[in-house]
Amino acid sequence: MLNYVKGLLDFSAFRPEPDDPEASWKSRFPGKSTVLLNIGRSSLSFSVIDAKGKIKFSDRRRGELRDLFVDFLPVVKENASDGWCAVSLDTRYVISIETNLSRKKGSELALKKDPRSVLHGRYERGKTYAVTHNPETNSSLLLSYDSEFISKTEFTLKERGLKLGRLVCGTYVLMRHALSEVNVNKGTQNPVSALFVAVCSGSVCALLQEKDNWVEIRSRPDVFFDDVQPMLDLLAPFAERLPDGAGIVLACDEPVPELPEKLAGIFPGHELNNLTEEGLLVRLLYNG
Amino acid sequence: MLLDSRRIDDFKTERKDGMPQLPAIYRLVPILFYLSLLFVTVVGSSALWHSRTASDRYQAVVLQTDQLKKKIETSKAARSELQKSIVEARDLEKCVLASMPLQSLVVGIVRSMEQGSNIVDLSIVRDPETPSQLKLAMTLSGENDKQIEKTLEKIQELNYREFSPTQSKVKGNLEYRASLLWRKPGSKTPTPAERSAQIVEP
Repeated sequence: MLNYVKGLLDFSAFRPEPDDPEASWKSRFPGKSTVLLNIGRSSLSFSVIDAKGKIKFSDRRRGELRDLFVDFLPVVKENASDGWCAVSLDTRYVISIETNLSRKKGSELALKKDPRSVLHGRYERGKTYAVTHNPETNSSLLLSYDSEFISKTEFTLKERGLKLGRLVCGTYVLMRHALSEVNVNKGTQNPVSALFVAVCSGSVCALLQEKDNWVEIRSRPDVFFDDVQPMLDLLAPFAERLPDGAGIVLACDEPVPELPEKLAGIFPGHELNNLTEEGLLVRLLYNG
Repeated sequence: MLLDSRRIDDFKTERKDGMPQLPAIYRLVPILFYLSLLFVTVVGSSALWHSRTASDRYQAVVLQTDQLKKKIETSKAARSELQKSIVEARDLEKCVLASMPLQSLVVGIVRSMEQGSNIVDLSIVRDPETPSQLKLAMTLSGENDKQIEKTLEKIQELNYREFSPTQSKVKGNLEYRASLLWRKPGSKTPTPAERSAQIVEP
């Protein structure tokens, strides 16, 4: 009761709760600094976000997650207001292209609550899903996570005194951003052909789009840390299938040294549209 | 192809007991609360200030009242002293008046006598209780009936007023008795005789 009165008097009752996933990050934590954690299979990074949504400082290390948590925890706790942080899980996910998924009204919500009713035979027990439909075709991008891994991550953070405000797949968020930045015309009048590459904390997702059709996807978590060669090997097969005149759209959470040049080497004659910027994922999460 | 760029798929386990955001109109509640606090503070401060000012004024008035009461007491004492002096002065005046010589009165009475009229007996006695009053007893003989009136006119010219006059005939003589009261010249106070004359009989 006292909390309700306090919330009423300091106007926090009129703002979305920090736990509310429907509200944007900046409306949930106005004037407060928070932390974004990128969790990979064997890497952990954090970015301290100031009250204006800018990165104050960040760090990324490779090693055992348990040890890395111990190292980072004091800094994270010190900078996360009341312990609130966002998490980008960049491991143990699968992004695939599916066709003929239900697009009924409320199906996206149903996918979270009861995925079997939407996916039917493609549903796997113990998985959590998110979907992005291609509005021009019957294909969809389907992201699936291991539910147990999500629960385990939530428990681990809670155990360490951190509060989870948002849990996303950074690669998937960046891929959606790249798609929405390039596909800006409604309808099929000006179809777009491009190779979309999303990179987040060593995870890579590449989607080939031919005239608005999503043709092929190659997605793999924990591909690289410092050396980008494994990522280039993953992308190399697209060189043969990429249509003439199609561009490369690159969206990385942080600039990767020499990556644009190396991509130009693999895909000669294809224009590179580099959407990468410092703290891109942070900006998307902060405003989204 | 258009995609919603702002949508972010969140995998966080949703809390069941989350409180919905209150409607914006409800912001009036805390706003009115803070306004009422401000109002109470302003009015309270003003009332406190006025109370202190009124208290100071009251103290000043009480002090002034005390000073005025003291002044009144002093004035009363001075007035009492003055009244005592007045009484003493009046007594002195009466004493002075009482000691006024009767020679002029006796001479006036004697000179008022006309030919054929005689003073058989004349006594003027001063009342010890009221020295301003004189008891006149006069016995006249003669054939002139107007003599007494002339004598009384003369007495009045000397600023004496008679009251309680009585006159009688004894063996052919006229006996006249009255009390005389000297009246200061210019005084408008009527004598007892004038006062009784003003009373109209029904």
